[in-house]
Amino acid sequence: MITFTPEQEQFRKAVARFVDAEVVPAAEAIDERAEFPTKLFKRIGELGYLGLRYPEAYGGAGADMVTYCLFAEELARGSLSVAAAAAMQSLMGTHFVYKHGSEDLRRRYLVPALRGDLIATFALTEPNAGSDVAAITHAAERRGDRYVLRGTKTWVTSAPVADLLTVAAKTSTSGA
Amino acid sequence: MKNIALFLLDRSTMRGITLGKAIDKMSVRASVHRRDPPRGRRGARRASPGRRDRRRREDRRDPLGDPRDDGGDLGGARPCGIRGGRPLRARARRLRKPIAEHQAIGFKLADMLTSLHAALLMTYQAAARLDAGRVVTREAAMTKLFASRRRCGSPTRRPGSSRRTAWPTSIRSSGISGTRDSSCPAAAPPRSCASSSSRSRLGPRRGVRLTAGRRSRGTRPEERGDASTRALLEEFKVGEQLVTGRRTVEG
Repeated sequence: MITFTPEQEQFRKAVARFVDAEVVPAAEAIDERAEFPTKLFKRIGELGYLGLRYPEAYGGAGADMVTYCLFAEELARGSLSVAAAAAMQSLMGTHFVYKHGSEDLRRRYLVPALRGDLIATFALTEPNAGSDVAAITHAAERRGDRYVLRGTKTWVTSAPVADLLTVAAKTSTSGA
Repeated sequence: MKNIALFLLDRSTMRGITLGKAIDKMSVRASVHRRDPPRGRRGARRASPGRRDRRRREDRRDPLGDPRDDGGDLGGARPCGIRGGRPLRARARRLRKPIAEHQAIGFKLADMLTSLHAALLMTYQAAARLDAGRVVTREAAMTKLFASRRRCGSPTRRPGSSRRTAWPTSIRSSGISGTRDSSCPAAAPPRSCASSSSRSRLGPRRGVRLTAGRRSRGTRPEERGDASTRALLEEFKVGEQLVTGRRTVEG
């Protein structure tokens, strides 16, 4: 049994109004042109939807996961393309910066990403490994004070337009 | 995974990231999942019932209709808009009655709605448990497995199976359009939904073809015509040039 709080229902209605007014009319044209929905993406960031799952200190809303699901469900009703881009941005694309990044990195990347100014994505899947993390072959080789990444990723959401990529790579070939 | 690390790459300051050609995915472009895709609205108008010269294009299409034509309520590729205006299934006719009234269509619609509803329930249950501070690894994995395999709308019945699914009264009476607006679960988007428009801002099919290793001529997937394998080659590469990048590792 799914029950939503009054606040969640109100939030769903607000998102639905936005989707009906701005996403639905543009959805077909976006898919026809096969373009990244830059304007809508930016608009979603302005409305604060990209930061639903993050603390207010970084421009987020501190919402729970059910609320986020309501947002994603309503957005996907209008356009799957927009919903997928927004989901990548607000979940995996920025999660690791928030979770493991320093305060400087968060300020530099997370805050503008939640505003929609930066497009972030997560690169894990490989042609020969799929999304099996243990089987990836993307190599990270240390050279002095830097790393050299060598390998190929595929099925990277928003890759052609992404400003920021979180890439999974192996730092050694032994062990697991 | 002791030897797996995550690297933050800033495209504005790093070199050596080579983009492959954009992948022409299904679903996120609403319905393009074939070599000769229908042309959307125009196709739908031509498919209007009662016009012989307009039937050919429709005949080539998915018998359940083009998701773009009916608010996305039929095709498995875009299952997130069950509700809609007047869908194709209600407009188009076959054998002197709307396709929605054919029993076989009803079976499929019932299967699709059931799958959607189940995926939705699983998603919100996992989300609620996560909000309650519980570990949802299993629930999240099961949800993603279910939603992606079923693609939120493909038939639950195996093709050719003799098992029939009853046509729910609630669905029939509501004409589907009035039912709850089931959508793709957000936390675990189905595979067909999980990708966004990996396209250039400047238009489709722009980018550099990946040169990932060498293969003998004639054995490349694109030469074999394997669409799914061919798509795998459309990727981006983080390559040798990164050595000269000003900054390679952050965080």
